[in-house]
Amino acid sequence: MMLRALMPSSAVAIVACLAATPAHAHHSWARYDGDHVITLTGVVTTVEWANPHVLMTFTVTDENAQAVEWTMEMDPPTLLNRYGLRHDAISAGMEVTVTGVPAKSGARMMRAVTIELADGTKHRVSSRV
Amino acid sequence: MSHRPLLLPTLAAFAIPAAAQAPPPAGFPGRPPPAPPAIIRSLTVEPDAIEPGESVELRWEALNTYSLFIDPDVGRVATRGSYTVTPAVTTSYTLTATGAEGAITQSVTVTVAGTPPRAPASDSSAAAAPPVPRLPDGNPDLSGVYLGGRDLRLVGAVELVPGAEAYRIETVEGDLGNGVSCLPPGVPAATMMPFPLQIVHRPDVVAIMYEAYHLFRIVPIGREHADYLPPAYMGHSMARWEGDTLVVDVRGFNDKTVIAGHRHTENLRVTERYRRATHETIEYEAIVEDPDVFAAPLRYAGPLTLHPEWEIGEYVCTENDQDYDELFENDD
Repeated sequence: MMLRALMPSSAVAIVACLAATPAHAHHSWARYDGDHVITLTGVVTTVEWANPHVLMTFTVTDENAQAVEWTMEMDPPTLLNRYGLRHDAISAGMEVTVTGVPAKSGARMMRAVTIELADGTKHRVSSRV
Repeated sequence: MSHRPLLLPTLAAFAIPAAAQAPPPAGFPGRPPPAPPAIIRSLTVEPDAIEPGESVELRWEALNTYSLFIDPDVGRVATRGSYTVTPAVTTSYTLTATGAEGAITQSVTVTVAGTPPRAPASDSSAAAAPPVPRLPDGNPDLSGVYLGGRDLRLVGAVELVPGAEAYRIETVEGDLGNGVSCLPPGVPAATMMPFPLQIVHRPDVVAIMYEAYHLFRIVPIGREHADYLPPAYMGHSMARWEGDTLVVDVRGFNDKTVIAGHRHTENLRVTERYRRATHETIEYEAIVEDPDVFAAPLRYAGPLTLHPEWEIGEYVCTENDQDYDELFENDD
């Protein structure tokens, strides 16, 4: 399967600074670069449908044709359910396209706002859009 | 009774009821990307032809909606569900889903044998709005599921008393202090989170149950605070009526929460006001005072919007409260 990483040029130059946030700051958007929206396509490897935020890992082919693993977090399960996204809608092996904002640190970590499933359905996964 | 196959939804022009409108959310830290549009996945009715007096079941599923509304006879609904109706005459039911790109609709029609089509209602949604409910003692009944969230805002500036700069902490707009560590965020922060709360109201007490962190507050009405109040994240609440406004005096806080980017002392005191201005809305206000930190009271205000279609869900914050520091480490 051909994977692709769709990263606007503005997203490549991620500001490498650490926000002054405490450990366990899982709710904080302070660690994300809200001015740089990126879109990645890859294959789901794990899904943790859990509080406080749903976590998903997926494998993406980067600009060097290397397979790399990204982690993305979504809203909590109760909010995702209200948007219409069921817990069984995403599973390992699925191809997904995720739009969100990357970690300021440059880590392969993102806060997702939209996930597009293989059938083309786009789901809202953040209360902020 | 006739049992024909499910009727396929049909597109229909439809005047959107005022109650179906919903503003887009706010709070994205930068320029927000486009939100996915609302999608109506299904709307069915079974059966779609009945004799007078019989009932049918509407079923629906939608995605990415800010609000979802079925007209007539049903009202606001959750993202998926079913509802039994007994139309007296042939009736078309329209599902209106409002999302990031506006409203979309689908309709289904139930044919009631020997009856004419139901006449479309005039645009009288405002006139038809139900009145503010009342308790047996005549006071407004605040009961219901509501969302305050980011509609509640700090009004005005934060002024510190001399020497209180040390109480200022690093924070980011939209973050809510202790909430990031699965600890109770305090008052009014718990009401400002993007999770609904449920108020259960009887004449002598109000119970406020927050989906966020599974917090609850028990608020007696017409009683006095105890002489000693052990310090608590959510404080201790007592209420009284001022006309149709329920005034809640909250004191007895610990010093571990965050107010507008500042720590505070145990002298923190919050005065909340709840006024059910309409059936759909509570006007909410919180006046925050700590004479050791703030030179003037802080005021938070905004609406709590009724969401009868929602239930308070399970939110166990510590379930997967792992150390996110590792996830943010740049290994390259």
